[in-house]
Amino acid sequence: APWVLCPALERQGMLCPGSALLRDRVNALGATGEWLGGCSAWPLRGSAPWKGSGVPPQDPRGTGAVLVPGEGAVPHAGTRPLSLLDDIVLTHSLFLPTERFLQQLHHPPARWEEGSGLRRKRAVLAVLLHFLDTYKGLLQEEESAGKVIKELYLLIMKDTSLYHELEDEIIKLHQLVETVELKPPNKQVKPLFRHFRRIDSCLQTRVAFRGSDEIFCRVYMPDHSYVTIRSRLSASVQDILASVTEKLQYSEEQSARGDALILVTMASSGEKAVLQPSEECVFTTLGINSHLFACTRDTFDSLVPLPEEIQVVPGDTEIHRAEPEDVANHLTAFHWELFRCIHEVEFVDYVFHGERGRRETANLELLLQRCSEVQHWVGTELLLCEALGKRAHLLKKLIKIAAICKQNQDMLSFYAIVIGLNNAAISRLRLTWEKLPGKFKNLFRKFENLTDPCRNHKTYREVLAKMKPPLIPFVPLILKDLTFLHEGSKTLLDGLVNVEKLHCIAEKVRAVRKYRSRPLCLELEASPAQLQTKAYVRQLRVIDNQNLLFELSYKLEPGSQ
Amino acid sequence: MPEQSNDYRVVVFGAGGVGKSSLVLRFVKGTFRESYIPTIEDTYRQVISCDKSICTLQITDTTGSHQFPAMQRLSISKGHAFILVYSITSRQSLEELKPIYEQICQIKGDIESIPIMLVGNKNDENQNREVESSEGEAMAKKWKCAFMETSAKTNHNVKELFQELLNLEKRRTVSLQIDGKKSKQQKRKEKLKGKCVVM
Ligand SMILES: Nc1nc2c(ncn2[C@@H]2O[C@H](COP(=O)(O)OP(=O)(O)OP(=O)(O)O)[C@@H](O)[C@H]2O)c(=O)[nH]1
Ligand SMILES: [Mg+2]
Repeated sequence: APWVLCPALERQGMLCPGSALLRDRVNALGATGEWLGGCSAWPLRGSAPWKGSGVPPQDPRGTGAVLVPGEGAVPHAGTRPLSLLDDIVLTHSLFLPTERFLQQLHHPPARWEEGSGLRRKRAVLAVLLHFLDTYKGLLQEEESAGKVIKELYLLIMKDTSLYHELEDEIIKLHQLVETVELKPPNKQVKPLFRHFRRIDSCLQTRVAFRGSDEIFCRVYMPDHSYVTIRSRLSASVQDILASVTEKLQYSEEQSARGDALILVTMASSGEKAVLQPSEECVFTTLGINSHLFACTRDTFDSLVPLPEEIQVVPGDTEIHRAEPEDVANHLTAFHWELFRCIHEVEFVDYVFHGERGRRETANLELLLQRCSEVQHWVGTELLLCEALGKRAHLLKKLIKIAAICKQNQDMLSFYAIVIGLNNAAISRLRLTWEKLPGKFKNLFRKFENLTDPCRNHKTYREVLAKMKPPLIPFVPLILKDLTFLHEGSKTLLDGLVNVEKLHCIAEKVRAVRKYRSRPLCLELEASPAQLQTKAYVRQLRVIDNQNLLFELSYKLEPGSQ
Repeated sequence: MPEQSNDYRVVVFGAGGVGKSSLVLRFVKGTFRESYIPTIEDTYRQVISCDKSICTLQITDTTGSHQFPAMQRLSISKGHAFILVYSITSRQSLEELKPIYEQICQIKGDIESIPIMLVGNKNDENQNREVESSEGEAMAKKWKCAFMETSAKTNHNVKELFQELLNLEKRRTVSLQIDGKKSKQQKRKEKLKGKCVVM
């Protein structure tokens, strides 16, 4: 039964201490709850946080840390060992690529004494099941990891007749492997970009994006001609350029002459940057009103941004017609959809962007993009409103919307609106703020206190702690916390894995899990008026050029300040 | 910064594979390729003259598949002039133009004031012809629009197609020539004003 007994784990003939340590911790997964190696005290920044297992330290970069399931029964739900398993499943990618993590299940260490086959198999199964359950559909994106799982699965299948005791686990394994393997039938191309959001699809419920999803995207030329290409979400800049070159019938001579195309992102403000050919999945990281341009090196300097999408003529948008409750509820409903699309491991993967070949964090990025979009939307709507009285009325309405979002426990929309109203181009509108009823002035002051970052966002954290799921947190703060955890302490030292750090990171992810543990149900009618509000909320058109916002602000209230 | 409102927008419609992109690329870039890459939506820009000043001709090449009805409606409402392409080697492709024509009528209303050109492409493939040019002509008469046969492959009538289309615009004077001078052919066409079928 090689899936347990295979005595490998010998990278260059030696056992890595990190692996040994981790193994000891994971050994504790056994129902006996036996903790090896003085496990409970691993302070993040304590005096002696690292502990080896007696094996001399090796090259710390030999991250051959190894996960070996302990001898013993399946972990009991709700015990610390289960959370340890969860810690490691969620965060292993910080020190070990998923594929190698899984390989460890094939290769327990040689020095284990023989004769405890069943218990070890049970432990391997426990890890594998938890892994599959956590990753689920995300594994379709990981070919090599998928291969390891398949191999392991086949080995386990071969053994089923020998181990009737494992029947329950194996049935569960069947089911999980099936969900992982089954690709959704004929994937549809998903319109990702702003210019396609205007079509009917904006009303459909959002589903998660995966790297292999095909999307449409527009690539502009220096003269603002554009081609729409179909591309994998995870496509590299090189792939995108190849499609554009082919479409434009760009001849090989042209490329050979050094006129090869480069891909550039350009914001509405005119800020531009050249993308490196090897860069991947650039689509979701673009700014709100940014566009991709293909040009030759010598036309780069002359590139000008597309004209502002939004017409700077005051016209009544939906915000003036819609009821604040409806706008708020549609914001919450949409942001809940976006929040739900984010896979748990995206939070972990986001932490070390750029450090290693990264996995897709598209859904998280889209939520961040949306958060900034809402901030700009608030300012855009106010600044497009010329009449002072009407503007003050709109300001009141926006504060009301923020209040309802807060009631909905949608702290993301709430935060975004408050930040948007705090934008210098808005806060300088003295006349407008003066016209606001006292009650709303006070309310907004309260909101500012709640979002005050002082003492590490103490007020907000306290409010959040009192909320029961479902809720939508202010996601950027979670990312800030995670980044802080990641940068505040090393993951590996002398080849040892900082298990406590993994635990802290996993705790943050578990908090997200808790927020989403119950469905969010808002009662939204499907009347035409409601659909109009819904469509409006889901495809906000905003000015994201701060200079332009200021310009409008000074035009409205020149003397303010 | 290109002025959006000053654009003259032409939209090219037609079934998949009839040669819409080929016509547009032949006109814009002067190239032709044998391989087939289905289009989603592309837009090319060219400087032309309009009422004696310069403006941008914006040619939108649409998809032949009927996957994106909302995009089709949007391009119709934004378009100033339309090219409806079928392939002379496929009767089916002429049939498929009907719903598009009807949609243009629906969205635009006063169809007679809108430049529309019915185009039978691939006329280099005479041996596989399924639609006679007289049939195309008859259809154009019915639709009160102009008609032409072209070949993107041999570059037959391609530039003429776009020039004729612009000549049909009566609300302003648009021309491919930037110097503002009218070609002989153009003057001749202006005399034919009122006639719907221009061959
Ligand atoms: N013989 C001949 N072949 C042509 C002509 N125009 C286009 N083709 C060929 O027809 C095929 C389809 O041409 P496209 O221009 O891509 O067709 P399309 O109408 O843009 O198709 P969609 O974008 O899918 O709607 C290509 O293989 C072209 O080489 C023509 O005038 N004569
Ligand atoms: Mg095409």
